[in-house]
Amino acid sequence: MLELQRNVIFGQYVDTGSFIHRMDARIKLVITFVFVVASFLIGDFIGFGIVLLLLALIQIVSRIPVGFILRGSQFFLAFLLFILVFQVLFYPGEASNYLWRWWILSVSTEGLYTAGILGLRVIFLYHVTTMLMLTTSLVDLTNGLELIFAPLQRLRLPVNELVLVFVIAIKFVPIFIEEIERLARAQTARGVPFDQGGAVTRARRIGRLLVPIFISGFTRADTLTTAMNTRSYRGGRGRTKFRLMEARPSDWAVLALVLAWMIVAWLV
Amino acid sequence: MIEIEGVSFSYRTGEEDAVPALSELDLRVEPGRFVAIIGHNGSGKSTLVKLLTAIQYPTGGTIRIDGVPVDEENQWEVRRKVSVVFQDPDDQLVMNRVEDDVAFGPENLGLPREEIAQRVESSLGALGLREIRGRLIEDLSSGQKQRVAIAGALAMRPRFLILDEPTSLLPVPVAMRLVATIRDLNRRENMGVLHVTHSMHEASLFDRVVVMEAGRKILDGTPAEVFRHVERLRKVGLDVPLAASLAYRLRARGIHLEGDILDETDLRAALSAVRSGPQA
Repeated sequence: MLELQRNVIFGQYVDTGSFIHRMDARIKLVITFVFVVASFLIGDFIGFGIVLLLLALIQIVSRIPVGFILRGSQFFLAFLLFILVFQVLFYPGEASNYLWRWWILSVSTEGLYTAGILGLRVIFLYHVTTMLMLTTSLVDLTNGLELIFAPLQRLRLPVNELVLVFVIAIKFVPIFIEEIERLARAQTARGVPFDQGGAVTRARRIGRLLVPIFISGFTRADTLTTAMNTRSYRGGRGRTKFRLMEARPSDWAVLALVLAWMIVAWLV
Repeated sequence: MIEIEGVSFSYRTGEEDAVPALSELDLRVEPGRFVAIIGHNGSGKSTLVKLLTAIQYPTGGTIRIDGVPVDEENQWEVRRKVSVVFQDPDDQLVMNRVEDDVAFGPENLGLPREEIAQRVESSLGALGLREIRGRLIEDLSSGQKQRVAIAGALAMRPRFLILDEPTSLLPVPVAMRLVATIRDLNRRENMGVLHVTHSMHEASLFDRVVVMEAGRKILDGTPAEVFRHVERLRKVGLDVPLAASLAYRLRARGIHLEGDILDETDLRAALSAVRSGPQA
């Protein structure tokens, strides 16, 4: 629990100052969307092979080490493997294609094929969204989202406010982790062993930290609201933006390249 | 100019156990002054901060800031004139990167981008934060976070900066440096500062010290004037700085010390004057 941040890479930002880091966040969001659509259209191994080349290229250009991503994705990969094994064992294939069979469990070539494609699809989505977050700072990401969804503001959807809520939620994550650690240490000092006992006992001990965390959460939310008011925040209306977003020609070129690449991968 | 006239405030008005947090307070602060407001927990000093920033409104009397009455109608205008920095920066900082947070206030005012950029630049410079402008706030020390909070308040270009015990969570040397930085800002920008604290130590650095107790102002004057009332301060649980207290006791024993004694340097000078005096 206490090493939450080190073992989960999803949602972190790592600044290597690469070309991808400097790209316009809106273009990156659109590219991610293109990838998401492509992952559902592409349905064979050759297509994913072509996609894989592009992912490798993105990985290299971003200058983020592959080992770093793998280490941070252990939980995810273990979970994915678990799901895929089930997918294979319970796949209702035709009798002629069974490689192995016992009771209601079976392994068929079709099952392996479908699980393989599903696995690639999920890994593809995971890699693309992880890369987006690793290479885009939160402020750029939220500003990008805000600008892309700005038209929805006309439909009276409070886009600005929703984005700010998101920013604040993310901001509180390290603060709460620190607070949980402090509470855990305070209780450890009074003899509560967090690392002993069965799963249920441990869960119950951690549960005891939840009430103080909730209370402190409400107090903090209240204080922050006051502070935001004193800093003249009165909703998204009438706010201006300090950060400028500018899509360079090279950003558009990357978008065109990705689009073309995905169309090729889809059509072959 | 801050004009507080006959201001009273109580929490839970109308109920039987309503506690008056402030009663009939009168206080005037001229623009550009550097004022410390000292008091114990429950002395009403934090309530005063809430009233000055239009978080709460007086239940009696009036507060005017540069002529604008502090009430619900004028709350946003009041907040453009007064900026506040709270005790815990984690409760005050909104964005996750240094310069984005400093820009948060000016963005709310709807200023043009160039103006925001310029204000962010000068505020970061004033607090020595230019090098860490791109850093994540969660990675900063508490002293640095508090500087970011002050830079954010400064970027609002307020007439008065109110500091609600911003140094109480900091180590003493860091706190003293921070107060020195604020003093510097106060002189350069001619921005009034109201520093709420329970530390007498910091108070000696101010133009004027207001001591509060049970919702009333009990002492008001220069640090030297206020520190003379050693007994009175002790009665309300406040300690005079060691040098000032020692000078008080020496004087009580009939030793004549020249001038105002606020710190060690003053005391040393006065004592050496006493020593060389009779010989001359």
